[in-house]
Amino acid sequence: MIDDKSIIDLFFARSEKALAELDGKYGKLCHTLSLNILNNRQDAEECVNDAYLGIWNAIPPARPDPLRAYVCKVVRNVSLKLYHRRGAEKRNSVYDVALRELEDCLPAPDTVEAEGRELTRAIEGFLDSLREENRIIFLRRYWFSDSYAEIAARTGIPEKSVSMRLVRIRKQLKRYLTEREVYV
Amino acid sequence: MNTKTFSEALGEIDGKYIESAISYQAERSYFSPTRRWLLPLAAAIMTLLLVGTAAAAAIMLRDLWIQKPSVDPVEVVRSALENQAGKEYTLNIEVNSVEIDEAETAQVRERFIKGIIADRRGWSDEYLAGHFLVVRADYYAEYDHTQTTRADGEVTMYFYLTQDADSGDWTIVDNSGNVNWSEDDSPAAGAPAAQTVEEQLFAYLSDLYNRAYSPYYDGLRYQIDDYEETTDGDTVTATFLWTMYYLGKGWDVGADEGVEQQVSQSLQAKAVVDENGAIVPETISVLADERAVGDPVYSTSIEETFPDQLGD
Repeated sequence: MIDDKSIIDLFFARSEKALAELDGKYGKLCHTLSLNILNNRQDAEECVNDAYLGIWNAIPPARPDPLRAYVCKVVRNVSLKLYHRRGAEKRNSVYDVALRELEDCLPAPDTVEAEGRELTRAIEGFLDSLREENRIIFLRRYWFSDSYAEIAARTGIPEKSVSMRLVRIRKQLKRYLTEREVYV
Repeated sequence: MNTKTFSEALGEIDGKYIESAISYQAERSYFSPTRRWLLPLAAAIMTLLLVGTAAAAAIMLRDLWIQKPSVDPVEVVRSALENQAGKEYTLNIEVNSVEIDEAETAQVRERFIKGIIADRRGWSDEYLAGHFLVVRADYYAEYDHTQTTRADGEVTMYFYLTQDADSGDWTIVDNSGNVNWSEDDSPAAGAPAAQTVEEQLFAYLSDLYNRAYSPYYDGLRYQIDDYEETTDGDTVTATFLWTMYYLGKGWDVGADEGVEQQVSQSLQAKAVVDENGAIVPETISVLADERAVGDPVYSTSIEETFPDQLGD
């Protein structure tokens, strides 16, 4: 399997092999991520293909590093667009459940809602305040929409413990944002 | 709160966070439910084989730590912590570090152990000098709070171990929770051996409550008020208000976390005192007032008021 730099070089050379290599290396990761959000294999397939097209158009000039995180971001964004476009549908995806978990833990709008960039910076500050394992659990749940079982397998923590940790982390998040008067 | 907006903002975080979340794979694995059941069972069988049914039952009932005596004191503590995973109320134990704390050993030996506790346990100074150690463990714990009031999170625990002079094996005889006994100013924690009956009772109860509550609470300290004492022959009866202070864990009220809380009990202690004015430990009995109002009725053994898991 070729390294990320070589894949990017293929994109710069406008070689279609770039997409094949990208899919070979990160296809499974991308499909899982999209499926977690959409809970529909056909939709997930469509989103991953759309994401690949987006990446093809973005590189060059972009030279993302790390490539894997960049690809995941694009896949997540494309999948969320479809998720919201078809908002009336009941998907019962992990993403659905994860969103509902977040509903009660975030501070309600009080005055002025935070701008997107400001909120992102606040979230990054919150992530920095967590110890590594809790940060991974939080991201795997709310960024990747992993199930508790998947998080348990990855972190080596029992499922029940993952659930309890997430409850505490969400409380911490609420406190963190409230103290900084970050509302959405 | 608009979760959609939050999710979108989350999607824009720096790639380093995403990369770390992808590449993270725990090096360790947790005990599966099957193993969690097997561990205490195996420990019980081994103990039964080694020391006989009656003694084993006593050990298993009294011992909060399923331990495996060894010539390596660090290994004894590490295995005791890891064996906590076998407890039904334990969700997760992650041992960060275990090491002999020489400074703490010296301080505890000098300031705490020499005295009434050592006397009661039959530890001579010579024995303590060569066969007593304090091992410090830092670990992360999570417990099922429907089954235990144990505090979870990052824990620093001091384990007190003695060594069998014949076999060389170390055994945990006590633990401290987050209480650093050598820095405690109470008479139980290092002052010269208590002189008055009140001081001796204070030392006795402090030790008892430390053993009962240190697995659950940090910052334990105690106070006696309204002390009254009567003597009938060589038997002393004392009544007093016993107050235990501890640091809240924020289980019910988040703002209580780290804030000192207190709970008081009216107690009656009876004990035989020898010709030197020293309480005979085996004769001490302490009862708690079971009534909230009116004249006190001392009828409940204080051990019955301790947390359930003491009988685990």
